[in-house]
Amino acid sequence: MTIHCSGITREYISKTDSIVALSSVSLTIQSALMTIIRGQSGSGKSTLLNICGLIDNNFDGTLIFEKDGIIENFNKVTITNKISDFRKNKIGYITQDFGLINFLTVYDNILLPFHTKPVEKQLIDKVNELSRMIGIFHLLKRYPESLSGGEKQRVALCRVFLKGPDILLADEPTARLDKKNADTVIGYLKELQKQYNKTVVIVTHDESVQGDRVITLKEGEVESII
Amino acid sequence: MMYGFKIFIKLKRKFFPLILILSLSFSLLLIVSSLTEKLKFSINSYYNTIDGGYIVKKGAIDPVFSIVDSVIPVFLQKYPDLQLEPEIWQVVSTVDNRSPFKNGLFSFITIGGVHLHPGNIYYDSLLQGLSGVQNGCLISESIALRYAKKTGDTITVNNHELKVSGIYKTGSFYLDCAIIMDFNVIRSYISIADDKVSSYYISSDTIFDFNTLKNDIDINLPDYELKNANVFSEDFKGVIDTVKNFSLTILVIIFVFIIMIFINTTSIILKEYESDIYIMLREGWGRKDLFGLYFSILIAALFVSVITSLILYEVYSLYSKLIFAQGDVFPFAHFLMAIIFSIASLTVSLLYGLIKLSVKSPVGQGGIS
Ligand SMILES: Nc1ncnc2c1ncn2[C@@H]1O[C@H](COP(=O)(O)OP(=O)(O)OP(=O)(O)O)[C@@H](O)[C@H]1O
Ligand SMILES: [Mg+2]
Repeated sequence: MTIHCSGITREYISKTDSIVALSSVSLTIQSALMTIIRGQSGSGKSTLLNICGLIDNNFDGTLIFEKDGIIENFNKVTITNKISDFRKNKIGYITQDFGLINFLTVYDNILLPFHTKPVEKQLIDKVNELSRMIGIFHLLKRYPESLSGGEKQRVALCRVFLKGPDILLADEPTARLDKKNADTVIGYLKELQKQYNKTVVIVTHDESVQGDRVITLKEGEVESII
Repeated sequence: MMYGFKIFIKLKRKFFPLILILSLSFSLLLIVSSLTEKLKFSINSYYNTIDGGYIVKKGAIDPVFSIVDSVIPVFLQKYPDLQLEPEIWQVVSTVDNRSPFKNGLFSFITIGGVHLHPGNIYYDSLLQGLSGVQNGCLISESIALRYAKKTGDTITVNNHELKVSGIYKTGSFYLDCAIIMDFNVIRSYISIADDKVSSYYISSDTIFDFNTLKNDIDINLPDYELKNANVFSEDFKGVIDTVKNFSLTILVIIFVFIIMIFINTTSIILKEYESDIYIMLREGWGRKDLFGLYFSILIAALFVSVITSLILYEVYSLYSKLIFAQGDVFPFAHFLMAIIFSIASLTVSLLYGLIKLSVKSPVGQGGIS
């Protein structure tokens, strides 16, 4: 799935001042490639990812998702139901804080996107298979509070893999991990992108992470696309 | 909805503070409402706000209000036209073989004997139904309701079988708790000496000046206490009303205060949920799914709080039965009111908070590096 951002402006308005986090950003995130977003702190990387992940729709401009000639448009006034349906079916988002609910077991956290409908046997088998592959099978009954950062990150990965979204967005997925864990996580993301032809977007400061394309932001504008 | 409930069950650990606060607020409401009822009760018994004038003999079994015997000659001397009617009152210990001492209005019931004759202003309207019926008695509307009696039924009072020959309406607190019989009939029941009466009431519509009366009579017996009744001074009525209104105002203020605590607490608890709800939204939960969760929370909270408060109520009434010899004045209606108030405010604040949460964008903490 290809993402087209067209003239996206995001302004944070508070009582005292307003910050333009993105100003008129237009870019294309190519389908089935791994895109890295870099830039200094405060350059608007997270803001852009939030908009692409449809969790922030308070922006000016248009967001277009395109797959096999089918086009979906999103902007400020798109109704919430359409947004949440699209988010549910097409987008996987890994936040920097892993997005795990502390009061649910690892198993329930992995199944969280599916808790809105009956959980089928097939799905449970898939959880077992995936968690073995990622090496968190022995953690399934534990609660996130008792996990290390690397383990939490793998749980979040497992959840995204289970969902198998067309677009996978990750906001600094390696920021809280050591080198070894970071490499593992990036390895999984690359595998997902290659094996299943998914669109993967990673925001990272880590220079060692290599992608197919690199977008660099500066002060809310696109500095370069390589 | 079902899946919302499923996730709610998994999240139940999070609800402990909510349920705790709920139960605490309930008990607070119960205590407040029982306190106000007590306040009203003590105002009534302190000022003897019953229609008609009388002076209370100290130490008499409440509400046997008597005119102090030694005062009567002074009364008659000062007011030659004064009509005094004797009465006999007895505390009722069983009605239909059950104790009337139960939480609710009927912390006591008295059986009273009064004269039946046309000059009787005070009870006049009440007594029309009594004449001609053997072992007849009149009961108040509240007693009729409580014991499911209608005219013609029998009622067993202190092991005497009486016939209900009429049901009267009254605004008076004491008369509400009274079963009234003919003066002579009750005398034979409780075998009291011929010259003994419990009290007199003043049946002429003379308006007394309480203070001059007090000076004239010059009572200094330590056992006796002169109390004012609204016949003596119309001004006094205003004071009583003011006190009553004041206590009502305090009650309302406390209710409002508790509801504010409620709303505040739910919003604090919801704050704790905020990040979890954002995670759910980010993971693809729709508003519809969230509403399933909300209603599960609501129904569970209501269920638990109703159960908790029922238990609380039972414990409270048991406690008050043990502590207060006369049984406690604590009507179920107040309990219901407390529940309805709390549930309504809980529902409103919870729903408001949750809806507010779900219309925001679920933007979590951005990357900090
Ligand atoms: N909720 C918000 N309210 C106000 N301003 C915000 C908000 N979120 C971000 N900003 C501002 O928008 C700008 C871009 O923020 P953003 O989080 O996108 O930066 P970033 O590139 O992700 O930085 P970092 O590398 O530190 O995560 C910053 O100047 C930030 O202060
Ligand atoms: Mg960021």
